[in-house]
Amino acid sequence: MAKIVAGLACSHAPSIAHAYDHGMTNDVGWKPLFSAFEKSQHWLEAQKPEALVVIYNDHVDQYFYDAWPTFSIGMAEQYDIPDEGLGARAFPPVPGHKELASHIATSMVADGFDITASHRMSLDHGFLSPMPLLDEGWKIPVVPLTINVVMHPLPSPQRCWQMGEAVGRAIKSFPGDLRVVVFGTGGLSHQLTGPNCGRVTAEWDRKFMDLIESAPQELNSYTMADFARLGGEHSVEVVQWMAMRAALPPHARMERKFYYPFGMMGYGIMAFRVPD
Amino acid sequence: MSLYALSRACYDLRDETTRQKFRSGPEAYAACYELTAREREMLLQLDWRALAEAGVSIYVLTKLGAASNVEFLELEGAMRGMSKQQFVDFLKQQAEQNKAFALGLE
Repeated sequence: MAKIVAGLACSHAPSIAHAYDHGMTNDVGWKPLFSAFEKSQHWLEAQKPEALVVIYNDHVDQYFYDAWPTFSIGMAEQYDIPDEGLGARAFPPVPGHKELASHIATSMVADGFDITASHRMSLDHGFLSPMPLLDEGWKIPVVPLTINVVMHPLPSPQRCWQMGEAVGRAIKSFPGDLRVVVFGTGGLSHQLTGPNCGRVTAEWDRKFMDLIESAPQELNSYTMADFARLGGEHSVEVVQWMAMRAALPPHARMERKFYYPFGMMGYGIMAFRVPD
Repeated sequence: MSLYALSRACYDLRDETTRQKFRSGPEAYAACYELTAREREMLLQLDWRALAEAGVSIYVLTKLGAASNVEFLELEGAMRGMSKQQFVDFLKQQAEQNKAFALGLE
């Protein structure tokens, strides 16, 4: 049977992609973030993963207002690199783990969680800004999953937690030995429009991270409106951290924690290992 | 359906051919979408604040920004009525105030 060996949550942002693509990773401002990602990549390699299940959100690149799935899963052999407005970034297509994806989709639906399946999907910066920093060169096949945090109505944080639990159950029932790491990308605090544009609420970010570590289910009593008020409208992406955490077994232990309020964002990374 | 059309006009700027079309004739480009006079004005004047207030997502505004060669920090500063430099200064000041909350830095 497949085993979830670790979980990792981190921020995603066009700014990370921009700094990476423009050779700014050693600049004074950016270095703390990129060295934290580098260390996280080494840590990840040590977990010897064979498949990466990545829960993220699209930013009106793959999906539009014609129809936006609340939860979706990619089931393709490989995934496209999208043009988000500045031309596609210079990466080869991302290899998919088709068997695991198909199993997760089928199991989730059988389990009462009717997720939308996609046979062609492009992975925008929700995936593509952090993942080259965690698996450089696409060594490990992925299963992408999305949560809608853009087009209203949005799912409740509690529903996102339940989604993560369903993903966890589905992975564990995959026949065949497979070491799986689950990711959740997004957040932390940021506000991209309105009079508070640019506001970073670092104190809340730290509290959120503490809750993810020690009492993640307390977050189920928050609403999306609570997250928007506390961390900014665009920080509701943190539900992906919740989904990742919910997919992990209860005895998972936090091993890495990084937080860096910089520019327009609270950048965070947290990693959990599941002891044997 | 107007907000849909306005969003669509920005969303469609995800390929170079469309961007070229927009850059070479913004008025003609805007005419392809069913926009009200006010919406067309906001789009052509790149009135970021008004567009956001009208409900256009920042995630499609960034596509309009990229097609118009407007830097992200300039666009974001405009949301607060600030120039790019004022906005950058604000962010620096904020980062200084938030420093104490950083964790795990080397």
